[in-house]
Order: sequence, then C-alpha cells, then structure tokens
Amino acid sequence: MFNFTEEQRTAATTLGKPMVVTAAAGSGKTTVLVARFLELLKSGLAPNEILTVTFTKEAAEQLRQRISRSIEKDPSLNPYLIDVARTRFIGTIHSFCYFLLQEYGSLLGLPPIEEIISDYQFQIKIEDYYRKWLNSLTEAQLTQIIKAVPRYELRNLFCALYTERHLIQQFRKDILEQEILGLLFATSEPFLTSLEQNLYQTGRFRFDDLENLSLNLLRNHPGVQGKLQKQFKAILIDEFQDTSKNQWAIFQELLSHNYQKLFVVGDPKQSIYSFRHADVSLFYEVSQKMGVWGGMVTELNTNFRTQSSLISDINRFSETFFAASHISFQPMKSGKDFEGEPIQITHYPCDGFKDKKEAELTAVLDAIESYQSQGNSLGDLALLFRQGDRIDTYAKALKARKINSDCTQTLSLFAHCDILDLNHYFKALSNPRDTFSLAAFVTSPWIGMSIEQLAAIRDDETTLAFEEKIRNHLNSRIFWFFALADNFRISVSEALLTLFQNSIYFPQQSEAFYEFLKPLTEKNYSIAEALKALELWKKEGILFKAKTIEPSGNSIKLMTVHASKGLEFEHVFLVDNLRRPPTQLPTLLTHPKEPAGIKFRIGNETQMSPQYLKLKELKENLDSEESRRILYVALTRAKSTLTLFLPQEKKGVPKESWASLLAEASQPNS
Amino acid sequence: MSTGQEIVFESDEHFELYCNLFPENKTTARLASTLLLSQNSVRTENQENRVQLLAEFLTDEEKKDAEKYLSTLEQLRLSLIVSHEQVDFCFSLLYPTPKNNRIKQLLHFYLDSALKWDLAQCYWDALGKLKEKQLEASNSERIFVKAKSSTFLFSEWAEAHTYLQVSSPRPIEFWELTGDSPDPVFEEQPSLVGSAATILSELSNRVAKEVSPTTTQLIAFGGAPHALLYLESRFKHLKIPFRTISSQSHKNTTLPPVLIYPFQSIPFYNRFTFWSYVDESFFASKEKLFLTEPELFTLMNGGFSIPRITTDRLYLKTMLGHVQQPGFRFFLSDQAPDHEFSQLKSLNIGSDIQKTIPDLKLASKKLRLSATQLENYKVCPTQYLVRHRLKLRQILPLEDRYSLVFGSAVHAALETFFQGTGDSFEELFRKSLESISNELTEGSPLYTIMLEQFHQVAHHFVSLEKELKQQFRFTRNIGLEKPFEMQIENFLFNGKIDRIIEREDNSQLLIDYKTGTVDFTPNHIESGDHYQALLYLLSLKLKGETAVAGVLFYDLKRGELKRGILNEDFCPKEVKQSLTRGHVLKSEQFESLLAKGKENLLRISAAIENGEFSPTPSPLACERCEAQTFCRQGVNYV
Repeated sequence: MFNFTEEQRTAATTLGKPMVVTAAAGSGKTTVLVARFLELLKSGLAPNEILTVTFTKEAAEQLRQRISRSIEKDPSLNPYLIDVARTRFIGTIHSFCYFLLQEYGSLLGLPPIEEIISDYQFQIKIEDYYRKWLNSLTEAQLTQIIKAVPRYELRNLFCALYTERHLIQQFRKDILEQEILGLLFATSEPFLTSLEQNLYQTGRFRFDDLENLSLNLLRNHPGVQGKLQKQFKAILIDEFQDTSKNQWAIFQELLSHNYQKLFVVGDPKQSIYSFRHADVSLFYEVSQKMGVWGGMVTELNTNFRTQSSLISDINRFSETFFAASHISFQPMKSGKDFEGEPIQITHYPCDGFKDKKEAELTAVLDAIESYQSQGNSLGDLALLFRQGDRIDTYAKALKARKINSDCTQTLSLFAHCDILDLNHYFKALSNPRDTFSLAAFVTSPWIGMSIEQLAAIRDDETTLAFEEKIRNHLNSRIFWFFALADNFRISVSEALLTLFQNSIYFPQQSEAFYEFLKPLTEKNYSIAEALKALELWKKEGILFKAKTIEPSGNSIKLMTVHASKGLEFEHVFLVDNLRRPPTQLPTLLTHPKEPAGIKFRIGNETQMSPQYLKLKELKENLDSEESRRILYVALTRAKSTLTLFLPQEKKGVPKESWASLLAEASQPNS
Repeated sequence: MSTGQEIVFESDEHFELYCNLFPENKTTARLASTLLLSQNSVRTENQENRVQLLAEFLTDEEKKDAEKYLSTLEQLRLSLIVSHEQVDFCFSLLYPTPKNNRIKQLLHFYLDSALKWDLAQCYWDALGKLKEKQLEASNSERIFVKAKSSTFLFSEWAEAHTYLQVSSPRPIEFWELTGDSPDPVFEEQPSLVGSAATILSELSNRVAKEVSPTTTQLIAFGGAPHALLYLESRFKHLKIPFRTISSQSHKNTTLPPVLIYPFQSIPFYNRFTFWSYVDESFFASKEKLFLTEPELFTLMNGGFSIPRITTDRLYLKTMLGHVQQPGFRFFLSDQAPDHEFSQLKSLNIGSDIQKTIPDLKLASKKLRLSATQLENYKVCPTQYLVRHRLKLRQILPLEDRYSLVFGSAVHAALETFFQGTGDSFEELFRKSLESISNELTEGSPLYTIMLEQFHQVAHHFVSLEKELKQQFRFTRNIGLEKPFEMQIENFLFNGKIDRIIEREDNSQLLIDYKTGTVDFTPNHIESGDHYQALLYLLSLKLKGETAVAGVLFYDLKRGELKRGILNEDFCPKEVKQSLTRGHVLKSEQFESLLAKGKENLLRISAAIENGEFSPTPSPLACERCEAQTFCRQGVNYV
C-alpha cells in the first residue's frame, strides 16, 4: 500500500511499545501517522479506542480524510470503518478537552459549555473586574502600585494576572513575598477568582481554561480517568514539539503509566509556538525516557519534499546557526533524485533607500517581476514573513505593481472609515449633545451632507445649539434618525436595520464590515453597551482579520512562517529578515517551574525583581533558540527553489536577526 | 416539467433554459421566492405583504429549498433586472397568463426594495474590468470636467479648455442653497460629500439647457449611490421631469426629458442626447457578481433582454466606443484610477487650466487666532477646520483626557499659589481637580493616580523655583495667566501667558508651564511648527517692551529648565550653560527668528482666512487625529 523506507515502516508498524518519531521536514510524517492508524485498526482496535491529537483543526480534517481513503483502498479492512474512522477522537487537544467538559463537566459543577469566549467578549469581562479591583484599592495601595507601574500598563497587567493566574498561584508564597507583585496579586486575587467563577458558571471558557479544567477533571475524578484510560488503547500525538506542559499532563493522566500506548511524532527543530506555551524540552524528555519505558526512538531523516541541492544547502546553513544554540542538529537526507538550484541569495543594495526595509521591499518586488517574466506561475510562489505586520505593506506594494497576492490582513478596527462612521452613528444616537458625532455622521456617505453646508449651519446666527440647528436643517431628510434617537433603549440591530433601510449607501468593503458587526450583533447589545464595548476594543487595539484581497488562482501567497506550518510551496522567497527576536518583554513574566517576576519603576528608573531577571534570561535564551527554529521551518518549506534576501551592507543589521544568522551561515568557510 | 407545480412558463424552451441554468431543476417560482427571501434579512417593511405573497406562492418545503439555492439565485437576482421597464419588456415577450403576471408583480415588488442599488452598483462595476482604453483626442464635442471628488473641501475645480468651454464661472445654485439664501431649502436638496457636487451641478445645468420636447437627455451614470441622489435632487430643483432606473414611474410609458441609467444598461437610440458621469465608485471590481457567458446566453434566450451584463472585454470596449462617439459628453471624476483611464486623463489635465474658486463658505470672517490654532493648522488644515472653524470636539471619558485634565489642574493650582491665598500647593491642586469634574473626588482611583503624579510635579516645582532664583535671577512675578490680544496686519491673535517674571537686571522672562514632554527647539519657530513662544514675544514687543529676555519652558515632568528661546544679551554665562545648546540666541539671530516666525504666522493666517483646508495626511498628523473621520484620507484609513 505504501512505498515506505525502512524507518517509516518501523515507525508505522511497530506496535506494543512506546515510540518517539523524530520526523524531519517533508519526511512523510503524516503518511506514517495514517499507516500507523490503519495498523492499529488491523490489530483489532476500534477507531474510538485511538486518540489522535493534531495541532490544528485543518490538520485533523486532513488526517481523517486520508485515513478514510486508505481504509477504502485496503481490502483487508472492513469498509464500515470508513465512516467509523471519522471519529471525534481525531482532533486538536482543545476539541478533546471540549468533549471531556461537555461530557463530564457536571462533575466539576460546571454548566454545559456555552461558548469559547472570544477576545472581544473577554476584554469586556476583564474591564468590569479591573474597575472593581481598582475601586477596591485603598489610596495607599494604589499610590504604591502606581509608583511602580505606569498607569497605562495597569490594565494589561491585570489581564496578565488573570491569564497567568494558575502559574502564579502555584508559587503563591514566593510571589506574596515579592513586594509589589505580592501587593498586586494579593489585592487582585479575589477579583481574578470571581471573574473566573463568573465565566465558568455561565459556561464561557477560554482555550487554556479547557486545558486546566480537563486536567483538573482527570486528576480529581478517578472514575472518569479510569474510564478514559481504559477506552484509549492507543494515543497518537502529532507535532509533539509544540505540546505544552499542561497538555502533556493531560496525556499522562490518560496514559497512567501505560506508556506502550504512546506514539508521538514531531520535529524538535520545528517547535515554534512557545507563545502558546509550547515546550520543546518535553520532546527531549520523552525521547530520553524511551529507554526506561522500553520504547524506541525512530528518526525519519529523509526529506521527500525538497530537491537535493537545496537540502544540502539547508543542512549546511542550519548546522551553522543551530551550532550557536543548544539545539542538536541531524542533517537531512534527500529523498529526491532531482538536483536543482542551490539556495539563491539576493544581496540587495541599500543606498538611496530610506531604510533597509524599503530596500528589501524593492528588491523583493523586482525579483517577483523577474520571476514572473521568466514564465513562472505566481501561484507557485510563497513569500514567508517572520511576523504578520509587514504583510500589509507587501500586499499594497504588490497591488501597486499589479501583481496578484493572496493574504489575510489584520486590520485595526478603527482604521476603517465605515466603522468609524458607524461608531459616530451610535454615539449620535445615544447622546443628543454629542455634536461631534452627529456632525461626523451627517457628513458621512450614509447621509452625505457636505462640510460646506455644515459650516453654513455653524455660521447661522440664531441662538440655537449646533445640534438643534442641524436638526432643523435636516429633520425632514433624516427624520428617521431623530425619531430613533428619541427612542430611549434601542438595540444595535434595530439601529443598524433602520440605517440600512433609510440610507442608500452601503460600505464598500462589506466583508470587513460584516466582520466588525459580528461581535456587536451576536450579543444583541443595546447602543450604550455597544459603545462601551467599542471604546474598549479601540483602547485595547483589538484587531480583526479580513481577507481583503480576493484570492484568484494565480496569486502569490503571503504568510507568516507560523501560518506556513505543515505547508509546502514550489518556490519560496524568505523576506522580512531584519528583525531581532523580541526585546520588549512584558511587565509580568511567568514560568511553569518558577515563581513569576515583575518589572517596576522606582522614580523614573525601571527595576526588575531578581526573579524577573532570572526569567528574563531564560526567556531570552528560549526566544533566541525559537527564532532559529522558526528560521529552520521557513527554510524547509520549498520544493524546488528558495531565495533569501539579505542586505549588501552589513552595518546596522541587528545581531541575532535572520539576516545576520543567514549571512554568517552562507559564508563558504563556515 | 415535473417540478413546475405552481408556475410554468408558457413556453417549454423558456423553462428548459432555466433548468439549464439551475441544474437543481428549480422552478421559476422558487426563483421568485428566493428573491423575496433574500431580502427579508435586510428589509422588514412590507414584510406582511411579502409573507402573504409567499404563502400564496410556495409550500413550506419549497421555501426551505429556495433558501438552499440562495447563492446561485442571488447572482441571478443581482444581474437580472434593474428597471421596471426591463421587467415590463421581458414579460411583454411572454404570454400574459395569470401566473406570469404574478411573477411580474413579484419582480416589480422586488425592484421597489432597498436592494435595488446593489444592482446598479453591479452594472457600474462591470466597466471596471476594462483594461485597455483607446480614446482619440479628436472629438471636440466631448466635455471633460475634472474635479477632486473625494476631497469635500471644494478647493479645485478645473475645466478642459481644449474641449468645450465650461461656461459657468461659479458653481451656481449649489452655493446659493447652502447659505446665501435666507431660507435654506435643505429639505429638497440633499448634498454630497465631495466636490463631485460641482461636477454634478454642472452636468445638471448643462442638461437643463438642452432639454427639448424632441430629444431625451440620457445620462449614463457610473457614480456612487449618493451621487445619484444628489443628481436627482438637482433635477427636482430645476423642475425637470426625469426618470431613473429606480423610479417608480414605470407605469408611465412616455419618455421624460431626462433619463438617468446605469452606465451599462443604456439603450442606444438616435433620439437621445448622451451624457455620462463616472466617479471612483465605478471601478471597484466585484467579479463574482457577474454571470458567466453561458448563463448570460441562457438568460437572453429565455426571453430576458439583458445583454449588457458581462465581463467580456470586447463588449465593454464597444460600450466605451459608444461613449466616445461625437455628441457624448463625458464627466469624469479625478479619483478615477490612473491605470484605467490614463489616456482619458492625459487628454484632459494641465495645471495651466486649473483654476481655484475662492471658497466663500469655509472662510470665516472674524478671525482671532491662538497658538494652538496655528499649530493645529500647521499639522493639518483639516484638523484646524474641524476643531476651530466648525468647533467640533469629541466627547471623551475623563480617562482619555488624563493629560489635559492633569495639566490644567496644575496650571490652575500654580496660578492661585502665586497669588498667595495661603493654601498649600497640594491643597490647591486637590481643589482644582475637584472643580474640574464630579468624578474626581478623593478616593476615586483616578484622583489617587493624579495625586501621585502631582507629588512628583510638586517635588520638581521646589527645585525649579530654586533654580529660577539662583540661575535666572528671579526677583518678582509681574504677571500670572496674563491674557493678551494683538493685531498684526489684518489679523488678530490672542493667548495667555502663564507667568511673567522680572529678573535682577529688570528684564522680563516669560514662563510657560509644561506638564507633558517638552521637545521644543528654536528651529520649530523657523519651520513654522511652533507659535506659542513667538506670539508671547511678539505681544510684548508690540507693547514696546524692550528688555525681554525670552521664553523659558518650565518642565514639570522632568524638573528641568533647559529649553526655551533666550536673548543672549540678557543671559549671564551660567544661564547659557544650563540651557540646552542652541536655545540661547545672539540678539540678531533672535530678531531674525522672530521675523521668520512672523512671516509664517501671516502666511498661515491668510490661508485660514481664505478657507484653504485641504488635508495633509502624514503618519504623525493622523496618529491620534479625530478629524480623520471628516477628511477620510488619514494615513491608516482603509
């Protein structure tokens, strides 16, 4: 059925003992996973006795499809399994936790899950409790806090205290001893707890709540744990390098020392989700334990994705930049006979540009044009970015050169003119004295009054208030508006409906517009509530995603390296190489094995608690390693060509940036 | 034919063609019902009416089915019918059975709904597909009017003299309506964002001139919905009967003197005089809304004569060919994308032919300018327009005005402190906080936070006063919060000086309290970014004071006296050293800086007086600018 290498076959068919599979990029990891699943079925397991955990929903769906297809083709398997194999137990860790809580949540006194709370709604909840906390502080406490933490960071800090509360609580004693952090935590703890209760009791959970509660369930309810432990005769974990401590604890409960059930696959060099608490050290830990547990470690080292010259280059590069960190590196073997171009490096000139970023942009655009002029298809090309914020610039620049691109943009809610107009509409409705909003609304295309008319009304010498003058002038045209404004409590939906009915304008970018309306209308807010929410989202800089450019078949894909996980492209341009790993660290640092630390001010100087310094160093090391791993992921996406963009001028290239790592690695003698 | 339980087209071919279009074999009944269903979410008016119609029409199951095929049918809906005339025409080709009449009724019903504008938009967008444009410059009959339609500021208005001269020297009634007439008629006269209004006024006036009983004026309209609204109102105002695709006058069969049609559905008859109007909304492409060629073909064969919805380039080219025929008057917005209309634009534009119409309405008669106003204008004229000409201020919660509130409380406290009421500085600060807002009472978090910040300020205050005595040889205060007003040429300026002190050498030193970051350098006066110090100095100079040492910024945030603009003649060595380099100037430099500043001052004042308020977007200006919502051009604007 499968055309396997020796290692792949071992990985797929050795049952009955725990196994760790270290799978290099493009080494056919998913195929092995599918084959193993089938092998387990053949050994007599039912599909719902196998728990398969993937990293994303999409990956789970893909896996399900491939399993179904393979069952179909395999005559030795009963075709009824095709349907059965579409089990709920192939999914993400969160879908599994969701299932657990839905099924057994009542044991923890939880109501049925109402929703996974969105960022939008969460911010509103946080705000309530933040206010309560602030008001509960004595003057002396608040003074002490405000001396140490700038006022504009206070809310974020409260938010961080909530999201990290479990890690903080673990080391409660140590933390209460850290003076300012102790004060913060001691005063806020009751509010954190009551916020948590409020959310839980209304059936609203965040993703990490799902994990924590599931773990809690398994640990404290042996009945459930025993049942599930009996049910799952095999546990397959994909992308194990991106598993967090909490998630691993859940698996451990399910395994309950029967490690022969365990099969994990992943590549520690591709662990890139530490900001979601992924902990790559687990991978090494579990690999080492294999000896004790009587299991084995298999390495899939043959890359079937990338052509061979590229592989040897990637090996050479990676060796250099991993050597400077603690990451062990095994070169990949090539599974393709085809030899193509080695890694292309475009050294772009920086003279005559405002900065290196601009120089890079121009060089990349030129390269794309020449790529296109050589008759290559744009659809085969992907531009990979370190972070998402540059994508917008590139998309705009590409558009200006009339090159199609395909990307998801993240927009600030309030950069959008239609949304601003709508915000003013709500404001004008809710407060008849809000002249600014009224003026903004009537001059928007929804109504279409000109500024000149507005000025004429302003100059009108009668003694009426401005808003009354506007009303007098416009009453017959937007009578509906004033009627609505006089109506005391109206909902957002009503207000919107009336607006749509009475205006012939409709937003131009309707997709983005709907995206914005969603959180407002799904809750059926009143205008006042909506305004409060909008104000908050604006302040917190909530972003929403919108596919602003219609994808057409032949367009370049722009995406972050994180988004490219698990994907492959014929040709890859690696851009945005001048970034340093993040240097700005948050006010609060936490660690699963260490007490949290805080940075604060004394006078005008920033101080860090000893604990903060310790965690900072840890974090910086991790960030630097992670940066290399992300780079590695980026390099291994290409099938036939990979082009790097590096500045000619070495000066001013940030240390530890990809440009500097790559420049060093590409030296012939290195 | 098995599915046609309720409604069947009289001709089998028609029915089959529909089935080809919808492989699901939906009947026309379902089509019509979907048209209705799809609107329910948007419009509730006439809901009862519609429900009644539906109830007569479909079984429950069918209603469900109809929803399923919504997207396919939505396409059809969007492309099928734009005018009552078309419906009438289509059905005139069919047998007038009761059932067909029912469908016809439904379609008319649909056309009266709110969504009809989608259709128009869809037609206009079609032309956006056009990539290659060929225009010959030889056509002397065409009229080009160029204007900036998306700046509402009405600053530019140009005409192409190489073609027909636009005869009106001023934009006629539009202005008379906005203010000159004692009794404004806004009710009848919806307005328009942008000086597209100018083009449209011009267009309507010209059309009005040519109205005759023998020819119909046909306007091929490719503008935004609100532009159409404006155009309609113009004709209403001119008392010329007209008909648009959305008019309810479909029962009337005689042609009105003016017809306004979407660009791509204009009928070509010899008896028409053609006009066209196009603006930027024309070019936004919505490819997915269009039918494919086979679908279109099917429809046409189905008895619906709607040949003008297509993405076919050839057809669009032909369309544009018509526009280029002699006799076709073309009005184009400046905002039309260059790459679409480059040739057309290149025919038209030359800076030599642009002329600016002085804008009487935005200019204000009585100007009394302050430093803040001047600085706002320098940042962006539209910002000035909104804040000071229209006097529009956002209502913000106290927290968002933190710095402002804090600053004015400190100012107020300092003023009373030096008046010597006997209260301590802190007591005064508390009092002024409480007087600012009811929300600021002792114990409220914001109050506590401000008080904490005040303690730092108070700490700095002590050391600054000491420095003022020792370094700057302070002897006494001679002015606190002193207002001034002065006239330079024709302009009035005013302001308030926080504090004027006298020094040992009897010279005066002006002090400005700062609670935020001070980034002033004297270059800012030269570049015209800073006016506060300038106005202070000019006001004293005008009063005939000669011994003026300069202006000093009293930085309460950092506790520094390092920035300002001082005349070297009045500065002992130690003062010179304590100030940041470049902030102490030689006497002649000092004077020339003032002269430069004065020039800037007068230039900006004149521009304000003339009503020049076009926005100047830049990342810095737009970052926290609330006027973005009016200029609609902010840097981060999408």
